Amino acid sequence: MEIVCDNCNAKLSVADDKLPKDKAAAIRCPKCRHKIAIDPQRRSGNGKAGGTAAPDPFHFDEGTEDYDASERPFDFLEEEGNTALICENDPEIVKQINIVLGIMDYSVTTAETIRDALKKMKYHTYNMILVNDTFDGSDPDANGLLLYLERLEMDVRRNIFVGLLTRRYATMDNMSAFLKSVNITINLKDIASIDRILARGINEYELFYAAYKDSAKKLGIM
Amino acid sequence: MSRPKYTCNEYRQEMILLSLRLRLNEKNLPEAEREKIQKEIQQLESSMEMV
Repeated sequence: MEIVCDNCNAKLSVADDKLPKDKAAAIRCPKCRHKIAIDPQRRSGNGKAGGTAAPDPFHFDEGTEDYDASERPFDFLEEEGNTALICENDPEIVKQINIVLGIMDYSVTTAETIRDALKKMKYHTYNMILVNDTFDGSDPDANGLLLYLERLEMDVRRNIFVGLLTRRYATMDNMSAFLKSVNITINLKDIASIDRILARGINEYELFYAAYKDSAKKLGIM
Repeated sequence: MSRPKYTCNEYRQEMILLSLRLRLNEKNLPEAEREKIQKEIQQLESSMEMV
């Protein structure tokens, strides 16, 4: 489907199956960050959707990057939905985590490689990221994704709950979590209990930041 | 004006420095450990560009 940004007239192409059926959706324009509402009725019409401004047929926007919806899987979600990214190569473990996160009401995507994960994170700030320290054949002490997370600005990083899937550290080993810049360590031998581990980890994470977030809201800085 | 970047790494270094300084202030700390901690603090401060 072709979508035209109301604000800057950039033309975007989004696969129909990436948008929820029979439901209003919104995506953010990659060029100007304007939020574009997509009406499901207009979508089912001529295949075009977007705002009120008609596209200029003679306008060639050379500066607009190609919009690849596969890199931006949650553009259509409203802000209140929780999202999670799983970076794990073992399909059995992914399956187990997927079930648990589904029950916890997270919208989940999985990454195949570190590059894929970084691309997904470029366009979306996930509420939760679960990453195996050997993901994509990484050296656990030089995992590119973990290094990227370590270097994120705190303004961004403190909004992401990061769980390290590992065979090296015990589950909920706080000192190792601190040294690896993650919120929780989850030993893979405990994967069957990941529902309880995550519930406790998230509860502690929310308590830890509660005072900070309350104060930041009052000061209008978040 | 852009703010200096503050990341997990900086936060972690600050916390390690704080804990080392607290340990250094403890009474009855063996001299060998005191020297070791002082050396670690020096290295950390240097990597944090504090000296």
